[in-house]
Parts: sequence; C-alpha cells; structure tokens
Amino acid sequence: MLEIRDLSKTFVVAQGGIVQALTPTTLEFPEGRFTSIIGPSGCGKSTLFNLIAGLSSPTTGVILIDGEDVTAQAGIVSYMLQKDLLLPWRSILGNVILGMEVSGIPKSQSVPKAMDLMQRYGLGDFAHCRPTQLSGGMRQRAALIRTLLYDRDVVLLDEPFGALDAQTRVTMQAWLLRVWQEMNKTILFVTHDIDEAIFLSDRIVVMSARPGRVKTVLEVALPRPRDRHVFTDREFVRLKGYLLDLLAEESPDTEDIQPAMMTASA
Amino acid sequence: MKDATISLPLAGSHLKSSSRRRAISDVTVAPPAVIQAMQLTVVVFLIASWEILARLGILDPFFWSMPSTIALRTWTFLVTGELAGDILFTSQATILGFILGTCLGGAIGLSFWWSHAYAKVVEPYLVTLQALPKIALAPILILALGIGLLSKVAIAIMLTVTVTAIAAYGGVKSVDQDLQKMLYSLGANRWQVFSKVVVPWSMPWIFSSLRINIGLALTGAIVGEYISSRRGLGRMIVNASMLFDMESIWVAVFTLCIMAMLMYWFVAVIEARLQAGVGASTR
Repeated sequence: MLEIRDLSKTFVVAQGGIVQALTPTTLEFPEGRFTSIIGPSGCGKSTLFNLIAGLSSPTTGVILIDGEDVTAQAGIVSYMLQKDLLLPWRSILGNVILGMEVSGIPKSQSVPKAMDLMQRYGLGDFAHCRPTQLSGGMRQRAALIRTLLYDRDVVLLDEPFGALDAQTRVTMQAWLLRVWQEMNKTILFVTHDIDEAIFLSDRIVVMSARPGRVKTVLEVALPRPRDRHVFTDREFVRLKGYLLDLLAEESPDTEDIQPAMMTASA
Repeated sequence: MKDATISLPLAGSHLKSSSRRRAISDVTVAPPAVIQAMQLTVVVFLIASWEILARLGILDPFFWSMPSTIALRTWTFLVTGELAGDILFTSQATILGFILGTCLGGAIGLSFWWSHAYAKVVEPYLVTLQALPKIALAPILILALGIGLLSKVAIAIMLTVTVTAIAAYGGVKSVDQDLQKMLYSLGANRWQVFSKVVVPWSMPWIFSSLRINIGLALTGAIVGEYISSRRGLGRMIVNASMLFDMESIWVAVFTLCIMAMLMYWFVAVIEARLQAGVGASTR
C-alpha cells in the first residue's frame, strides 16, 4: 500500500515570496486500486506526482510503501507523463525496454518480455517502427507499456490521454482498464476529464487550488468490468453532477491565474 | 438525381481542361542531367574565356597565367610526384585537425551538461574565443610546436574546436527536460541520462558543425604552411610567389579546390549517414 503522511511542498520564488504548492496532505492508496486525482490547474496534482515519483523532495511529510519510507527516492514507482516521451532515435522496442535497460537487465531477458507484452496489447507489429511512424494513441500505448515494463507496484499516470482526440481517448481508456485488470497494479491517475475519472476509477480525489489541497475523496460504486454503457448509468450521472458542482466552486474564471503567493513571514 | 448523373461528366471534363493551365506558384523542376550540363558549361566558358583573354593580352599572362600552361605544369608536377607529397602533407594536417578538433569540441560542449555553474562560467570565454580571429595565434603555435605536422594540426584544431563546442552546447541546452525527468523516474543515474538522452539528442548539433569544420581545418593547415613549413600546398604557394612562378600558384590553388570539394563531399556524405543513423538506429 502507498501512503503519504503530512506531505507538503513549498516553493521559494523570486523576491522572497513562497508558493504553497501542496498543503500537508495525508492519503492512502490501497493495493490494486485505481485512484483518479482531479482538480483545477495549480491544485498541486503535478507537485504530488513529482513527490511520489521521488523527483523532488517534500518540505514536510513522508511517503511510505508497505510501511517503508521511500521519500525522495526516484525509481520506486512507475511514472508516465502526458507526453509520450519516446526517444525518437530508438525503435518502439528500444523505447519500451528502456526501464529494464537502466536497471541493468540484459536484452536477452528484456526483449522477450517486452515483445510478449507488446503482442498482448496490440503493439506487436510496431516493435521495429520509429515513434514518428505511429499515431498518437499507439505512441501512448508504447509509453504506457514502457512504464509497465518498469515493473513497479505503483503506477503514476499524469494525464496520459490529455493530448488525444476524443475517439482515441475512449479506446485508450477501455484499453487501460483491461491492462490494469490483468496486471493488478495500484494506479494513480491525474486527469481534467470528469467522465474519464469516473469511468476508470475506484476512487476519486478532488483537489482544490490556492493553496493546493485535498478537497474531497469519493468512492465510485460502479460495478466492474465497465464498458461504455457505464456512461449512461444513473450512478455515473449522479457522480458527474456532484463533481461538476465541486469543481465549479473552484471559480473557473481565475483558474489560469498563478497559485496564491504569500509573503514569507519567517 | 438524373440531372446530377448527366452533369457529372461535364463537370469532370471541365476540370480536366482547366488543369492544363499552370499556376504561377507551380515549381518547375529541371532534370538533373540538364542541371549538370549547365554547370559544366559554366566551367568550360570560364576556362575558355580566361585562355582567350590571356592569349589576346587583355589579361596579363605574367600575373594571371593561362589554363593551358597551368595544365601543362600540373602534368609535370604529377609525373615527378612533387604534387602528391604536398597533397599528402596538407591532407594529413587537415584531416587530423578536423577529427581531433571536432571530437574535442564535442566533448567540451557535452561536458557543459554536467554542471550549470561550470557551463555559465566557461560560456563567455568560449564565445570570446569563437569571435577571436584565432589565426592571429598561429605564429605562436608554430614557434611552440615547430614547423612540422604538429603545428598545422594544432592550428586546425584551434579553428574547429570552438565551432563544435558551441554547437554541442546548443544541443545540450535544448535537451527536453521531460525526457530527462522520464529517465530519472525509471531510476536512471546521471551517467545513464547523459549517455542515453543527452548525447544522442545533441548529435545532430555536433554533426551540423562537420561541414563548417572541414573548411576551417583546411584553412588552418594552409595558414600554418604559409607561416613556416617545409612541405604542403600552402608552402608551395608561398615559395612560388617569391619566384613569381604564377603557374605553380595556380596549380596549388586548383589542387586545393579539388581537395576542398572532395573533403566537403565526403563529410556531407558522412553527415547524412550519421544523421540518418541517429534517426534510425534500432537499439
């Protein structure tokens, strides 16, 4: 289980001001569950992910995995960003084994493993293609397979489908659900899309900006496996209405303004 | 519906006839053979005019010589093997200087990735060095390193190293931060990020300096020979000019022309290969 306790991050900006990107937050992410994190810009979603991924150090608090302190350690969880970030000079195969390559796993082991996963999830024919030869959806698949092949229990997905068109996005959501159910990972999923959050998640963490904090955590009581009929389910519609109200309180007309700045008192 | 099926072929034929007209923005491409023939014509025309003008005395043959005598002199030099030695010497200095200068420059440019402070401290010096007419330092290198091959190579390195260093640094500065972040999230250490992202990412920048460098390396070798040398095409030009031996100067100049063309072509081919390699390596 992934736990965060009193985790916070404060940035010092020019002229001695400070920005509280994330106020002390405590959350638990039980094993094998799918949690979405939703909220306006500046609510600390990305900060939270960077902290959990160990790419930045928290101002306060700790990150625990199965009770073990992993604060500020990179490489403990898998992390996928919105951009596919495939290396253009490598083939798709060369890209997806990158995580294993970095861990020093020899190609004789990593390549069969990668080929197996690519076959299973619809990328087998593209193994020797360049990233530029693939569509946006296929590139995201490759990026996700790279993330999954870096075999960690916790997977962070930062708006992985944010740049895709609506049609591809729906396909990819169903695909992700299939992958998740077969691989039994703990997924944390950042999104701006309410439909996506409800469709995919067991639980939705609603965050709020200025300063970034957790507003509400709600359970999604929709049965699995889910398909497109979920979108018209009464519970789905109820949750959607509730979430829309919650996010509307975040006054959309100020959404694009920088996070609140507070003068340092200390 | 019936009307539509009747009018369709009419509309089609109308389109066909109008498509024969050529839009002003249409690019007309001449076949390569025609281009090559035209290029050849220019050379023949220039050489023929030179010969004729010199024979008529409009160009003073004492200073400008004429193609026929230059050709004869070239033949003599080739037969005696005199030219080959000079070509070899100048080529050696050029190629060694080119390779060493480019590699060293690439290493310097890439090293800037490792420390922001180090890069910022060194950058202004590098830019100053690049702007400096470094040829001015050539006599010092000759005095320090002697009149042999070494000093020519050193001058060629001096001219090329900053070009590649600045190019490579440009590559380093443009590396996608998210790519680095992605690799760190996969548990990579700094060396792995450097070798798997920074170096391949910067390669096209380094390659783009190759063609500039081959010209500069040749310049460096020639200048070194001008100042002091026992061999080389640069030395040949200086010697001949002291003897008012215009034919020999021209022979050296044309030889340099051909060498420069060959080297440039060779480097362009290598560059194209390397650039394609960066885009196409399977692993």
